[in-house]
Amino acid sequence: MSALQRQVLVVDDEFIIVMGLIDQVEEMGLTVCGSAATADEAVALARQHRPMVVLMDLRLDGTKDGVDAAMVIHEEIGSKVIFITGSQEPDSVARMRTDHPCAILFKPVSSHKLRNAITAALSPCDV
Amino acid sequence: MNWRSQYELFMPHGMCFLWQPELMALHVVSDALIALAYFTIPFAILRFVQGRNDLEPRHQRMALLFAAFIAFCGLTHVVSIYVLWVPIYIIEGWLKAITAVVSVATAIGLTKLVPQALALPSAEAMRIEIRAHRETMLALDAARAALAVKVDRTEEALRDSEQKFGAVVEHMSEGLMIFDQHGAVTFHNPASARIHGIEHEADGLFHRDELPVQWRGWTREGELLPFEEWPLLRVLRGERVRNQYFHAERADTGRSFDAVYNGAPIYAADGTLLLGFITLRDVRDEIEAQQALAHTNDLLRGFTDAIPGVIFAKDREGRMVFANDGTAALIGKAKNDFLGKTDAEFLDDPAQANAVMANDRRVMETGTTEQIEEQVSLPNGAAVTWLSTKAPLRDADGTVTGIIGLSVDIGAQKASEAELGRLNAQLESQTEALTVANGRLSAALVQRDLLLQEVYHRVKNNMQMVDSFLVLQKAALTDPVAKNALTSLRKRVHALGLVHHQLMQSGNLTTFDIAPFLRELADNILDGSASNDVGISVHADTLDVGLDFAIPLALLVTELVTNALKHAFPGGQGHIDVQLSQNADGSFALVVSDTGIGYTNALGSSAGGLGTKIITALVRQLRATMTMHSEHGTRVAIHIAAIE
Repeated sequence: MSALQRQVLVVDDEFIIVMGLIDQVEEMGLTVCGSAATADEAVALARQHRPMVVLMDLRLDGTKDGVDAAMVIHEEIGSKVIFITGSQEPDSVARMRTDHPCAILFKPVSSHKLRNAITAALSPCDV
Repeated sequence: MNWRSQYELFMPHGMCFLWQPELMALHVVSDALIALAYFTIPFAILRFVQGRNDLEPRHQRMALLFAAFIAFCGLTHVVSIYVLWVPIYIIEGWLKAITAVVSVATAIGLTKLVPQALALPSAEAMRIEIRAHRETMLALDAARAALAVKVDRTEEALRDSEQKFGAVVEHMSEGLMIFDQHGAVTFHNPASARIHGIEHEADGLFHRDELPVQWRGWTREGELLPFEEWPLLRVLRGERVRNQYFHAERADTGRSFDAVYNGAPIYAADGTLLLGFITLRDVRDEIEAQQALAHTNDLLRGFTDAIPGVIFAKDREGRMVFANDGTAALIGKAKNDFLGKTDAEFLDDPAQANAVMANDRRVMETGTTEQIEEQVSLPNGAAVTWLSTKAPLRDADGTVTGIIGLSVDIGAQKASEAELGRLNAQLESQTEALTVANGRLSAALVQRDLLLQEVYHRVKNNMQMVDSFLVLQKAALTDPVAKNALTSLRKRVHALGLVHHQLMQSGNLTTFDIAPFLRELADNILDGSASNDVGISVHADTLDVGLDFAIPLALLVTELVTNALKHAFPGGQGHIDVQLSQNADGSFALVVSDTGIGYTNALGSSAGGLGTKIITALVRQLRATMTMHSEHGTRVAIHIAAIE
């Protein structure tokens, strides 16, 4: 299994949000390997690019949600998943927690919070 | 004979002895000794007579005669000596003649005395007799002493007995009065004196005829009692008086007493009336107690008869001993027809009677008060349910002697209970319906919560989109002023996002605690700035607020803290403090202060006056007033009116 790429995969079903996130990630000097609006797309892109970090929305188009996708990605590729969600419901948070998230950020996300989370996910000592 | 010539005529007797000295001496000495002895004896006799004063006079005379006879004998011997020398034979002869007379008289007297002397007992006989006498005397003394002791004891016993009876009579609570056969009172004991009101002993010693002068007597029934029927008169007539009640009143003093009299006559051996006595007992207290009891009974009867319902008492055997009018009405008989009888005897329905008596027995056996529902039909046959309160009746020792009871017709109550039961059932079904409605409402509430969550989610998603627009727009601009303006806009959007974030976290989805929110908001603003050496502290009272208050407040804090970070610390170091407190009148004080240089454009000027406009608009929206000081750092104080 080849090493993870120092790249970021952005997953959200709102394209404008994806664009904004990509802009901020690229501002950090990082490469965005792609974006997905569904869980399956996300998993496929992750398999293809093996990104170090995945920015994952909870709600996605299609039947699966971000947690489903993150489970597979975490198991198969080992990417660090940062959830970015508007949901604050206890059920959703509990589901995300079962998925070894690297961080959970709530929308709207400020630039410095996003930067801190990605920086932490990229640092080797992070568990 | 010639007395004088005898001396010449006769010759001395000594001549007969031829003057022989030896013979002369023999005669002289013998005669002298005899004379001396004879003279001594009369003295002894005289002394004897003098010493024995118990001698009879004739014996005394006899002794004196004997003494004279001896003395004369002695005198003849003296003369015999004298004639030896002097021849007085005539005198001697006469002397002997006198002696002879005395001797003969003595001899006759003595001879007559012999039979008497013989009759005298001998000394030994006397001693024996005296001893016997002495023994008799001793025995007599002993007998007398014994008799004396006996007499003493008898007297003592008599005294003792008298004392005892005296004490009994003195102290007995009953009065004792004794009078003679003529009706004259001779004795009152203290109780009698007290009851009769006799203060001085003499006042009590009246004659029967004095009685009707001052006193009047009545019977128990209040009828005037004729004098002949008074206890004293009856006893004097020979009747025995037994428990005769007598109420007496004195006309002059008004003194009265109530007493019960007993009395009897006492007869002598010959059957004549000797005396009479009367005992009497003061029954004033008893009479009063009986009257009080009767009064209490009247009260009890009055109360119990006046009360609607059944009140009764039964004895240990279940016999009715007390009943009010209500009881009589229930049973349908006159009180006298069921008093003293058991339920089994006076109730028509044996089954009902048995049930009632079983309840009574249980209450008496357990000794506990019970409330029991009993069925006793009315005389007209109508079935009635009674609520009976039955309690054990106890005597002073606590022993159960019967039962007291109170029964109330609860037929109407029963009907009410049934009605109540029906209403209850109705209420229950309504409650059930309400519960179902509540369940629906709860489900609706859950639905509402879900919807709200969804709305907030979408709002936040949209804010993220707005934020993305700003990010993208900012990237497309080159003017630093425009970029900064967009950055400020992003901060405002984030402040709004944080408000929604808190709302989603709160339980009711409409209010949340402002204190942790302000802390997070301040931290976020500080983190988003480049001011690494500026510290920020938040002091906020715990306070639940809604969107209407939280959004303007959050935006105000964002503007003020952002301004402070921009202008207060040119050196890059300092501290910002945010305080929110509620005053006693419900108004709020928001204070944002810093330790910076004291800039004057705290209301913001960088974003083309937008910050100033925003602050002014928010202050107005919150119906607040704002003051600002810039000595020793800048201090902005906003006084917000109480939330309506």
